[in-house]
Amino acid sequence: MARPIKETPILYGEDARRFEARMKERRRVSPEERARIKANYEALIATANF
Amino acid sequence: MTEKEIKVQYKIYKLGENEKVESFDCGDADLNDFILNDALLYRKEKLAVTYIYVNKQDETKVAAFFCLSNDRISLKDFENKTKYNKFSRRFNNRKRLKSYPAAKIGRLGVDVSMKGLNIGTMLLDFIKHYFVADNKTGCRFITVDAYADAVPFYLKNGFIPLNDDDIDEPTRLLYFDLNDLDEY
Repeated sequence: MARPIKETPILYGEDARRFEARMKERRRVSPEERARIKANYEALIATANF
Repeated sequence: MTEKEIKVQYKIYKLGENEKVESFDCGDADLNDFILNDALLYRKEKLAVTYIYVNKQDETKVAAFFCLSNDRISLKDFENKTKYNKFSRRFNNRKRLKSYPAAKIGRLGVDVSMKGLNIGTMLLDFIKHYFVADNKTGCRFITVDAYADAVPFYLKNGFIPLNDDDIDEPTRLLYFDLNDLDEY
């Protein structure tokens, strides 16, 4: 049996505050990265069985 | 083989309830054990669904796999679990919990014969956009239970550690905010 998939813990205190601050301050994904993500998705979904 | 050739020769396939991967080696015994033995159990129990990236002509050639399950990221307005437990024994605390829907990558592995071809990044890109393009029930974050030696790969792909509690553990929890993909 492989190691079980770890549960996502509840965030408290400073961890929770840091997480919420990060939600408000978005990472700027470049147009090139966004285009690559979309192109990879489209290439793969075209071959998918679902 | 180039990235372009891979996309022509391989397909993404959702593993059925009774389907089993017979051969796969990503160089990590635990990760191999998951796809060869445990993936089927997770599927049967409806705990996770496994997707394989497989050769169209020869389905025994599995280039990579990942498994997904529902997840959430929850925050509580307390400094730590002990303070929360003391409080919750006395009061109804429902209003103090915030939860955000997420999808979890439980495991992701690339066969040693296919390493260095950006397949891992390709699959992560697929997962990110899959939940943006076809977000059926609401999903804000992708979380991952990443093996310690794969953490740099996830950081490079925009994931952030959830906290530092698991910094010395064999796996770490990281997340990616799908809102980062919105145009600004």
